[in-house]
Amino acid sequence: MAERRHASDRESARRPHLGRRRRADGAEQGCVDAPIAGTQDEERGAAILREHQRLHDLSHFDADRSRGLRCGPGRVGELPDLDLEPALPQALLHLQRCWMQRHSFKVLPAVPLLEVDSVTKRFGGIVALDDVSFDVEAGEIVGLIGPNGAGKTTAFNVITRLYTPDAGHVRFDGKDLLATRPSGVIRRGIARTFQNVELFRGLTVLENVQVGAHARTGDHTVDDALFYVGIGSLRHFQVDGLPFGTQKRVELARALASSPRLMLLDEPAGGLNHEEVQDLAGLLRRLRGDFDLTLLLVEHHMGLVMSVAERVHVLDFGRKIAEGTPAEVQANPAVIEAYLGTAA
Amino acid sequence: MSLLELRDVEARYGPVKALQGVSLDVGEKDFVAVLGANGAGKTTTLRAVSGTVRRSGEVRFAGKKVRTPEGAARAGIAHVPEGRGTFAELSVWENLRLGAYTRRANLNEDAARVFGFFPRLQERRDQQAGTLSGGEQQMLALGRALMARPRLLLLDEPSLGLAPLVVKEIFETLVKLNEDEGTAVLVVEQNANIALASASRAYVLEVGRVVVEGASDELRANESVRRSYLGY
Repeated sequence: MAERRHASDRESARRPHLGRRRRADGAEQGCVDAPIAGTQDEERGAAILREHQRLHDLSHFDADRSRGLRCGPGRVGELPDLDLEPALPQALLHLQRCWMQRHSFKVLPAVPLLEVDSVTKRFGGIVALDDVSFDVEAGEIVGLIGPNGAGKTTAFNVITRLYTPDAGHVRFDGKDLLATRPSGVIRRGIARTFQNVELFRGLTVLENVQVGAHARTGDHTVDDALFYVGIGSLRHFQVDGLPFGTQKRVELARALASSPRLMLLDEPAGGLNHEEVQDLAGLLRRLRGDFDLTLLLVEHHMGLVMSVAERVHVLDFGRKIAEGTPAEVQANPAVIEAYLGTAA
Repeated sequence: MSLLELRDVEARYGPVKALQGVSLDVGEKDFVAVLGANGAGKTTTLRAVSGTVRRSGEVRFAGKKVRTPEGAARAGIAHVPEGRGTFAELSVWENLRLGAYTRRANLNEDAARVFGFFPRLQERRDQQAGTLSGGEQQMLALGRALMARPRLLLLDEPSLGLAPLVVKEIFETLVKLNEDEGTAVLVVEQNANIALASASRAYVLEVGRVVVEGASDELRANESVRRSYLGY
């Protein structure tokens, strides 16, 4: 890692200029509408291409929009023989993205995986969600925090279609999610766990996880999910008698067995001690990498949020009051006042 | 004599032995914390006290054997279970009234006290408990227990599902109850920092056994407790 950083420092003088823009939330990210993405700067584009071939081993470009844009390792010689004339913008776009990824830029697909857009949800006179908008990018781990009754679980219930919002849109992978029935949500690739555990009582661990796999035939077998989450040895136990923290693991395995793309986790650290929360943090990070998952988690354990989430959205009384990195929101006076308290 | 005494208490769920001989004491007006990993037997210990799990061994409260959950409630033990167990179909107010079921008293004063601790509950007084947010239900479960004016409060992870600010408030409330009114508290809690800061003594359970016990300060100085529970 240090070596690569060193090398890139040395090359920085010749490093092609890549567009950066500041997002509304202030986070700096690489973006695709950079100068070279157009057709006008061909000479510069060709230079970038050469630079890339020299600097990096690049080969496989997966431009399948639905899976996000990714670059895999490979050898320079395997680069597709690009006809620079017509292929230039597209090819350069890929290369630019690879370059950004290698230099810790975020590589984003054309649309966020999940878009919650101006959603309002009322229960009688109570406005549980009031014009709430937030995005979750593919591959991200995002935290959703806020005081009790702020609307976090309501947001989960809207996303999983248990509730229909009174106004606003929810899009998953660029497509309207509100047109999907609740039972269809899991087939779209969204799985969840519950704050207070909603397992099928009277069934075993194995049977519960099989329900998850049954809901959506996927690549992961039930066994994979059980062992990955670390409850393989408990498969024949009834879930009822298991400790709370273990029941939460069963829910996680059940969700995983449905091969989701987005997992919504409602307080995954519940019932775990400090050491176990640290294990959980590692598990969530591995899950994201190994199963190509995107995670949105509601959590009050700030230690966990700080250690796994890349971005955090903060709700209070149904409204979004802040967004940013965990460090940013922890330092945000409004968040401290509404949620964390001064001693937190 | 201790208010609550457990001697060699064992309990099992089917083939799984959850407690393998737990002995612990809670003195009059004591504030005791129980720490332990997921599955160590903390919840079962509380269930053993309130008689909501089959157990062997001896559980004595104020010198008398506790045999049934009803007996425990009448003797002055209020159990706030894990997962809250509020009555979802009933209103907030009805849930609170049920907490005072064992007493004949004017409830307004007690209700005012609970609403003082949790103003949210007053705002939601006539709402069905099932429509409350998770954290609000936790407040309701605690409020309902306080309505019983218990001598001993059993709390199973009161911080679960609560915002950090509310967790702090709840523990401040518990300390106040304990100091001002002499309510004894036995609390199971994963937030070991706040639990040890509030409690005078604590027990650490591991696979159904007490492995460490002592004053909160001693536990905080204990290397393995620090590593597993406090994170520094």
